[in-house]
Amino acid sequence: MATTVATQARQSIQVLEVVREIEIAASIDIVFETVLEQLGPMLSCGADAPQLEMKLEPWPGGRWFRELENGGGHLWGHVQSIRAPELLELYGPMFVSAAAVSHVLFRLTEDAGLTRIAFSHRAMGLIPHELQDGVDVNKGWTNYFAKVRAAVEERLKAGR
Amino acid sequence: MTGLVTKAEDLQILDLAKEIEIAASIDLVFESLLEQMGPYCQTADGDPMPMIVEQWPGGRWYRDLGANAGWCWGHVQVIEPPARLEIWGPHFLQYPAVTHSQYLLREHDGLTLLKFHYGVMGLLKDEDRASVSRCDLMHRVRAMAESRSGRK
Repeated sequence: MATTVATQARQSIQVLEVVREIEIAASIDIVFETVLEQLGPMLSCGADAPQLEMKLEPWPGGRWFRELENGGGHLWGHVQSIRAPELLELYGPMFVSAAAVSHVLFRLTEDAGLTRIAFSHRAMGLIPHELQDGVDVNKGWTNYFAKVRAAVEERLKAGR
Repeated sequence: MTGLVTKAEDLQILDLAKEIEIAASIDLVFESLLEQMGPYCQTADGDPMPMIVEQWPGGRWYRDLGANAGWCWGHVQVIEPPARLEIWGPHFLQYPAVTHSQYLLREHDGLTLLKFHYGVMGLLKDEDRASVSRCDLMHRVRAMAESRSGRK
């Protein structure tokens, strides 16, 4: 029965930051509703990837999580603040399996029928090597906002 | 009023990895792991300290002292029975820090390999670093699982 132990500082504390400003020609209510929907059941890791079927409990402390078969699941975070339709903040481990913490911010403002989303995702901690360049995280959010924009356009076409 | 600014250099990390082979099925080892983290949890000194693990994503790992008193050590980040469990949260650290515990299980040739990885980032104190190193959860899981499998 082998037992191995390793205690070492294999890496240092890293910071990851994704900041975006997005403009969508729709009302703030429609955009906020779509932001929530696309974080929940419609979220996927890529444009052609299957949906992760996430759930976002839209209240303070609510979970952002994924349920799997056989009682399994993944927790990505908790709602730190929600003030529809202007503000959503999420706080937690996200998809990082390490001693790291993420903060995700959506701040929405509307001006003359145009809604602006000031977005940031900042993470700090022992971020795994494969995520440190930020490429996959950036791709993920690019895909996310493309889907938000497309879903808003669909809603406007459908008159919803 | 005095303000005390903690320097960035005071931020500490801990990165601990262990693995152990257990002569029991993966189901028994996973079940034993949950019990040793839950009702059979012990302090680093071996004193009983029953905890509760809510077995769903976002579930709490906590100690219920009754009358709404207790300690929350973290939340279930990943649960994939019987192969994977991850807990994220403050653990027992009473200062700004975040910890991540990962247990990966794999069965082969009638043995289960239990791999543990523990990371901490924050204002980690030396005495707490020592406490983590003294924890013998893995051995208690092995003893319970092997006892239940009847192989030991």
